[in-house]
Amino acid sequence: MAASLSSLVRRTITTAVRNASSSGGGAHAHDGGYKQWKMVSILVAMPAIALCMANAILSEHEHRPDFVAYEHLRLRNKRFPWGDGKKSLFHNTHSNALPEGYEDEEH
Amino acid sequence: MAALIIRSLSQTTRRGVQVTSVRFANKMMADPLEHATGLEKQELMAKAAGNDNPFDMRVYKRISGDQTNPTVVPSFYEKRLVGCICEEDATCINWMWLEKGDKKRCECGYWFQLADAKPMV
Amino acid sequence: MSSSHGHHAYHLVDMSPWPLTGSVSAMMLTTGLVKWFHQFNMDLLLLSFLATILTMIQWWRDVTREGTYQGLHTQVVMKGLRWGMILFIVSEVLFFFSFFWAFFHSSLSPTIEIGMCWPPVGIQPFNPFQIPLLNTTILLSSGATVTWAHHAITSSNHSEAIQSLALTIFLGLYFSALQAFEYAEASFTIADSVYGSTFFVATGFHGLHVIIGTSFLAVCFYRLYKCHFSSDHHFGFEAAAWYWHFVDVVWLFLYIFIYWWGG
Repeated sequence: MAASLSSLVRRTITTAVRNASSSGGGAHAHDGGYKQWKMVSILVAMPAIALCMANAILSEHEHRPDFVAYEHLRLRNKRFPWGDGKKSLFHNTHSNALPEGYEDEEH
Repeated sequence: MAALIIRSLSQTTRRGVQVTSVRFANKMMADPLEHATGLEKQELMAKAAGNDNPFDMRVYKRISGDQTNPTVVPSFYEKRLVGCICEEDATCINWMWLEKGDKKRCECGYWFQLADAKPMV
Repeated sequence: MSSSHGHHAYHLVDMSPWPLTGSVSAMMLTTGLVKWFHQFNMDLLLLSFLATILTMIQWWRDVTREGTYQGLHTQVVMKGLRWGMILFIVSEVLFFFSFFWAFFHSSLSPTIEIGMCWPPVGIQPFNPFQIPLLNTTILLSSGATVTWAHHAITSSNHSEAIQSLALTIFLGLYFSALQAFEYAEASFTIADSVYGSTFFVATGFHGLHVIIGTSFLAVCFYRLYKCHFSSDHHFGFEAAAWYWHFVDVVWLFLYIFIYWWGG
């Protein structure tokens, strides 16, 4: 929803900017060609990033799923070559269960 | 409120963003010919002087090429590798060393002769 | 000027030790990885990182010396460099193709062991419309800013080029930071079935390429600052920009197929 809205806004502004710049400074392609891309970067890209940032920050966190000892998950056929060999490289104590279960009892 | 935002947005785009950088002048880069050096600069200078082929890279078209009137191949040294494309749609090039003094005949019947030339440098 | 250069347009490079040190460091890298994985010893691997970095720095420093300071990069030499970069990027496309193949192999026909569904049973994938969408916007925007920078260079505008290239690098760093955050917060790891394997290998190599691309752009920034480029001759920057667009396109494929379709 947010994605289609922001891309709609993006497309509208891009068309408006393109129309404005082509009538104005489109004549010299060699000098000043950066102006078009500068406008796109500042007037389209920056707001889009801001919108997406707001969306990401304000979105709710997923609820941590209950631990089920599935055989296809938390594979440990060979130990990891660091630490005690039981945790992945970006191991998150809260979100990542070990083969025996979550390390912290309460959620 | 929305109308105000839209109006200021469209005014900015129409005026162009140059307005915002009026405070400090943009530093420009050097002229490409001045910036270049060495062999590249010599190439650019030759091109600027009208020489489109400063390194003599073009494929030579043969003239009559018989024994009395061989195709002249310029060389900076005592000998040069010459490749003859015997016919227009030949799929291979016939390479041969051409030494100073001797005329040489390619298998297809054309003759070549070396001539002295000076490199661009 | 030395008489060994200049009688023809081509660049017959001087003798250099870097191809040898490069191959030795590549050998040490691969053997070092094996040693790390099987004997849990990182010494050879760390040495290989040092050797690789030193080779890269000195080799590319020499290319800059030959091109910018000695002027040995004539038009035909530049053409060769263009072809070289294009072919390298093509080889990288094929590299990523293999990881996408692995992903589609596993996801189009999920096995009974993972529940015959994708994502597998028990996997909670990322919401594609949160941080992954932000990352997409960031990379697309950086494509616009790097194009801004290129046009600024061809317009000989040094100040605009500096600003836009700095912005591009910032966006690249922002992407990497966000991905690192995502990696740390993920509910699944690389060891969580073939989902984890395909996800982290594909996005992990992509992230590595983002870091490489950002570094390439950073080197260009330094060279731009030092006025190595002119409006007609700035191939190092063009190569970095091509690489950056390639990284962006790979992300779009990752986003659409792994994050969105595969989620």
